[in-house]
Amino acid sequence: MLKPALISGVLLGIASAFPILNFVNCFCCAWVIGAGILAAHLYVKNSTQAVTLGSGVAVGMLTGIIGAIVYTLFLIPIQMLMKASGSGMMEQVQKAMEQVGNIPPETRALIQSIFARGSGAGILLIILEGLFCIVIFGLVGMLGGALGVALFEKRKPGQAVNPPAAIEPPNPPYEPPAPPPPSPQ
Amino acid sequence: MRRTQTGRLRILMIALCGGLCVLIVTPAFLAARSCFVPAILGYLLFSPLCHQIPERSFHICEYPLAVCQRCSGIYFGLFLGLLLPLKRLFQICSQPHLRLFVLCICTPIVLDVFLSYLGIWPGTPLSRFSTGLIFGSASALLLNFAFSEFLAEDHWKKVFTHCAQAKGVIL
Repeated sequence: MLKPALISGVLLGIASAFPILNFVNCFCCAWVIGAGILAAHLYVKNSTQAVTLGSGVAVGMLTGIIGAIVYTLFLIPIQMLMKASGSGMMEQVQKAMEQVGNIPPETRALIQSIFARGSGAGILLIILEGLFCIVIFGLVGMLGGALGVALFEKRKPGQAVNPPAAIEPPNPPYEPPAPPPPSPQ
Repeated sequence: MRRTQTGRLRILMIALCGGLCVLIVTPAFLAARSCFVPAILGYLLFSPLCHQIPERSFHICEYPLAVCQRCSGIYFGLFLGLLLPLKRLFQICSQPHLRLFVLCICTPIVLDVFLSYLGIWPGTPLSRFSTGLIFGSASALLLNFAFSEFLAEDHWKKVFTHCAQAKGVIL
């Protein structure tokens, strides 16, 4: 269970952190659901027994949690690089301020100064986002895992991939051919 | 004992989804009461998960919710689906046809997204919210059923063990 969750979780974290790729998550957490489905597919493929929905939920939740941790770890250096090039966290803060709309100029200046001053507030915000994403990615990952098992598992519960070989009767012992009858004289 | 555990997990998930639904509407209320900094924090929390386009979001007191209409439908659908005690009905109707069930619940939302993206279907607030609601509530039925298997197979122990192992691998 750990290997499919690690593979899918790391891919999820990287895709969610990169600037252009992370846009896909805006379509109802598509990367998270996709990672859960991928983890379930890998788990079903490598499992000798039929995988249940409960196992799918477990592998999906693990994928989401690992993905959120990797996302947070990747986001910090990416945001620092983007800040050096003039974009990054300030863009997100500006977008959030536009959502609210009529913010008084003093409050707007205060918020801008907090995020422009150093990377401390930005990193704190990323860590807070990461903790929130652990919950959301875990929940949505569970859903992805359950969907994946429902889609890819064709075996019935309790059925194995290679059923045990039928016990064949032992070969009869070798019997040498009977000697020819003596010729009449 | 297992029914008690399943009930507790279900209550935990209902509380979690209910909390998310409250978090979605809170920034709009906070902004309406001029609590701008916590409102901005609320919008920032959901920014990795949703495009938050104001024209495609519901509004409360003239301020948009933290997520769009489709995502609102999904989160509220998850909450409602977990509340309704339809696990037995799901077991009878859908469990033998699980793949068909998944295809049926994913088709409306996928069609709504792709047809809107291609410009064939303009998409309305009702279509976005209702397809999200169908997907969310039907997914909650699937999850509701999966929880009893999750607890029966002691997966929650395996998850904690694997989290500890993964932490060791990453660090």
